[in-house]
Amino acid sequence: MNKEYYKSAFSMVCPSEEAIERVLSITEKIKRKRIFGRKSLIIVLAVIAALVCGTFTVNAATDGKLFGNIRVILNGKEVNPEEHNIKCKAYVDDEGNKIAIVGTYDSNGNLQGACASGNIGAFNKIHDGNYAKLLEENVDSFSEDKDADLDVNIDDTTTETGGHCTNVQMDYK
Amino acid sequence: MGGEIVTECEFIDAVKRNNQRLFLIALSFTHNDKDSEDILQNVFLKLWKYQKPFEDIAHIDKWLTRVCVNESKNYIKSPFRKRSVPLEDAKDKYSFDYECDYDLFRAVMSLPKKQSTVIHLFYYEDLSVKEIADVLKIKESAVKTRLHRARTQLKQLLGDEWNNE
Repeated sequence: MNKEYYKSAFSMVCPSEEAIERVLSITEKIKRKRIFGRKSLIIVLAVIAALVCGTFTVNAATDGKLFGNIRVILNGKEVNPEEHNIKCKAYVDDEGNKIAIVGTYDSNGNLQGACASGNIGAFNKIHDGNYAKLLEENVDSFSEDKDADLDVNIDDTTTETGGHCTNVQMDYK
Repeated sequence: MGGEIVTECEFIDAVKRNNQRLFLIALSFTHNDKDSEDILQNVFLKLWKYQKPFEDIAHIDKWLTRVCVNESKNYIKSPFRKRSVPLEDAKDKYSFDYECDYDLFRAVMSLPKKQSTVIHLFYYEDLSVKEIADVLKIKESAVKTRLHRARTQLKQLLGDEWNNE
């Protein structure tokens, strides 16, 4: 009896027409972006990673292996991340949530700063909230997204105190 | 369908078939219509982007339920969620047929979110205790406890309108 009562009461509660229209327009939006081939999924998270000492020096300590098609643009110029102690990886979880992580390392291969961009649900799934760990090991349900196609724009500037301020923006294509 | 990713027609069918159901699941988590509509959009966005094949319609619907629950759980934990005014204007917004329907809606929305979620999955989605435990990733005993507490509170709020079954 309660089930019928419950279903009857809640049968009148539904999303707004506007919300349904927005959902139905998803196919159109994604198609359009696929046609133009840019930013079908925008994930932008500008993160300031304040690095204590000099970075971006040549070092082979990081394995920095690239997956998919990840381009690293440092101060407006595409670079080989391995030569600048930068490691980038893209991940996807079992529900298709995407996340990309970029980290910078010192000359000893120690992680100096990392930032991530992607689906908020994916962030919440990360064990201990430490997404930088993903650069070293897969955590829980994440796996490397070998089909990832994204630009990683890094603007590195020296601060007045002599440290580095790194602004990172990641755009999926 | 035959093991292929969803076509545009199948996507539209899935939206029409599931939009209210998924909205209500999200609402049982958020108690907020705007947040629930955001979750609805995220869920269907994932369906459209999902690159793996589905076996049949039932598979799509089950997948959507699971993704909606996970999205809702993540959403309420997120610091970026909208914290707009909860459903105070529900009576005007949704045309309830009877006053007692609105009473029940209001009573469910007044429950703690953990309880309203379990109640909704049980009474609206017809999920068993075990299925609820699976989808929420909690123990069956926790589901039973939440159900019991929720039913007791609903009985207090609704009196004879609610049978404690």
